[in-house]
Amino acid sequence: MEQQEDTRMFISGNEAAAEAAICAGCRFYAGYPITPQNELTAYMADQLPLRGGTFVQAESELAAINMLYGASAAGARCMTSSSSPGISLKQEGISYLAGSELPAVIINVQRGGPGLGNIAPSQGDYFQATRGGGHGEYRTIVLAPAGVQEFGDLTYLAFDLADRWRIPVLVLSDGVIGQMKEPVRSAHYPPPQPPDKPWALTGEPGRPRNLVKSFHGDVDDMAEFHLKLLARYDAIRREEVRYEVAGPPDADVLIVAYGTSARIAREVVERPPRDMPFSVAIFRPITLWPFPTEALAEWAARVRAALVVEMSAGQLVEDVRLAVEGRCPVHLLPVLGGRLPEAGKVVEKLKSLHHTLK
Amino acid sequence: MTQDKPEERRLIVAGFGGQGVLTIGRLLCVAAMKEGKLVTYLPAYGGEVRGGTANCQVVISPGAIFSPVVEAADCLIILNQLSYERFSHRLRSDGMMLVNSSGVDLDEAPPPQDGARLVAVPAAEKAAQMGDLRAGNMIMLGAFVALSDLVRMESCRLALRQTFTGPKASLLDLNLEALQAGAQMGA
Repeated sequence: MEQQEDTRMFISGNEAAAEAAICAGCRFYAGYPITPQNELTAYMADQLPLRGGTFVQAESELAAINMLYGASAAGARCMTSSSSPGISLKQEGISYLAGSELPAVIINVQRGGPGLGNIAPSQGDYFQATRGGGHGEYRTIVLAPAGVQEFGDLTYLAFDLADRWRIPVLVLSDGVIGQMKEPVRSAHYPPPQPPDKPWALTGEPGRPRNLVKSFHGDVDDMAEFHLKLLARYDAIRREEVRYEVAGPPDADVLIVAYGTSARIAREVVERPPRDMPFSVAIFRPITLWPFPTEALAEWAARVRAALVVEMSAGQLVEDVRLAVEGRCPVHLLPVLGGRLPEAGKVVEKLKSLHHTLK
Repeated sequence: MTQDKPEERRLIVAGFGGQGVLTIGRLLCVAAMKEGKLVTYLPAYGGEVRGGTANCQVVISPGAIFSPVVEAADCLIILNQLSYERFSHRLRSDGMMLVNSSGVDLDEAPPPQDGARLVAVPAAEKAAQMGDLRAGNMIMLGAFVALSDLVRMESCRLALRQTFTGPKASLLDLNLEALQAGAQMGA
């Protein structure tokens, strides 16, 4: 063989995320089975106990997220994962984590909904993910991978962001990114360096008493807490926006898509059909919150139109319109039910826009 | 459709759950990785482990792969009738389809597009002769490797050796034999 030894692993996105979490120092995982994320739970069950951590198959999704509350309050890097219906069940716990300023990583491998939906890939949880999801005034950072390697890389990053900002971080994947297999490297992850957590309930004798809670019975206390969180959210908006652009900088039309939709739509940008009458670029938000509003607005001022491609009925498009603010027309290609936004469909939609371009 | 990219190959492997269609796709990917290539493997299956439909979409390329979805296939590997009916129209007119003729009645099935090549291999029959019906997928894989220039036989054998380890190690010899038998049938 002429090639050198190939050290890449051939694993699914779910497994890549689990491996990255362990590399990031995750030492507590609790979860409850649901397709299409079971490979993640299975990998954790297999590996975490061998690598210094604790795996719990919880009796329910609620139990799992509340176990994270305890683990995080005690200072551990911790994670849970589920798919759409299970993530709905976890919302109360996520709200309590946010209200108690507790870092935690939550992975959603999206499937069809509402209700039990189906086990096919979907992006129908965008609103739930980006608007807080549970009750009350809070945000979570939301990271959206578009491939198996990136599912791992963003899961690793999620632990650092969660600790840095004392905030729950959601990794929003879907059934394609979760179950697809690609060659993956994990050896590049540096050893984790979690910050000191002087607020944690460590049971250490002699230090001042710590209290972790989300209750603020006094109106002024509650208002002050909100202002503190809002200031933090502003800082996150300034410092943590991530996105990727591909295609010509003077493109006529800008596709906006995340995750699986972006991965597929990029095919059209990299290899446009020869009879495409205009040029196309793609803007891919990697953080769905904070949304890359300013960068997208700059692009919108230069292009003749934007096309949002999403595996949902019109959720991402709302954030796009808020960012674009009328600088260019915004069109939508929604793909529903577990179908995928095939490159052929994207091309057809793009061509149908030609006569509208000014 | 988007422009063709030379050197990139897109294929679909389809059959029913239990025929080993996902294993064929995975082994092709591992073999291609051994040759330094990039791959994507996208499985799709029903809630059933056995008896439901199962397929995987595989892309093998020397460079970056964007869409992992196989809209127009360069190759199809078809193990049962239902999959033939479902996927044969996705074969490109310059493509190649390998069919398990033990599981597909080709007299009843519509022919592939003009120009497309169809190769039939009685894989399940041959596997039964070899003593284990479960090796039918390796016969298909061996025939496919011999028919296509996608991966080398040696890379495939390496992939098998890596896969059949631990409790599955006792199955390695049978599967290597089936791979070889398939290669002879495809040559």
